[in-house]
Amino acid sequence: MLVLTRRVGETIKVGDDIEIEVLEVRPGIVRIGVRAPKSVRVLRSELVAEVASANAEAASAVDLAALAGLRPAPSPVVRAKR
Amino acid sequence: MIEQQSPPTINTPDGLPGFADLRSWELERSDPDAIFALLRSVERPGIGLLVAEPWALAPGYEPDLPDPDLCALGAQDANDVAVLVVANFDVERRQAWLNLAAPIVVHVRTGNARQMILDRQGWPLRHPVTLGA
Repeated sequence: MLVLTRRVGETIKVGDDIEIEVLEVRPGIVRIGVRAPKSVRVLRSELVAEVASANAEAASAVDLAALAGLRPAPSPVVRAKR
Repeated sequence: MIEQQSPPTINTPDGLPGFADLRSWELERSDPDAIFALLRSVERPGIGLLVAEPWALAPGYEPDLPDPDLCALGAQDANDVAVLVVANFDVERRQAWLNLAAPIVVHVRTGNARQMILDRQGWPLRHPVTLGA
């Protein structure tokens, strides 16, 4: 792992077209800006870990026979919490 | 409907979160009208994920599929893809939970799929759905 020291407003280039900027530093928190092409996925790592553990949970004990014939009951409209 | 448009085998060239090494899956349905299908690993048949098309189960679900993921899938627009969500299911309580935060998106012509993580869109990781008979 490369370790660098940066001040607020300073940036790091990753390859030719990704730039990472330190926006704000407070005790225990760093706000970071990432400029990257639309083809590059930028995700917080813990989000990927959450989905991985949700998948593992869903993969345990599945009984397809018990699911035959089930129909959805009317359910309330979901809305995203933005 | 996915059983008509996509091949029976679904490929995940980049794996799925938690199953990074699994590349090939079969979509098994107990009957054509079943709301859940089993996405069973070809490499490890003991591993399967319950999946469902979200539209009837979660009315109002409007995932904004990220460009980088669509790019990686080779999809031009929404017509190229089918959306599935991973489900957890409690048979006795007739209760299911849908992962609306990370749909599995299948390219309907190539059969390639990615699980797309929808950051900051507010869709829940466990959306409860009660099932009728």
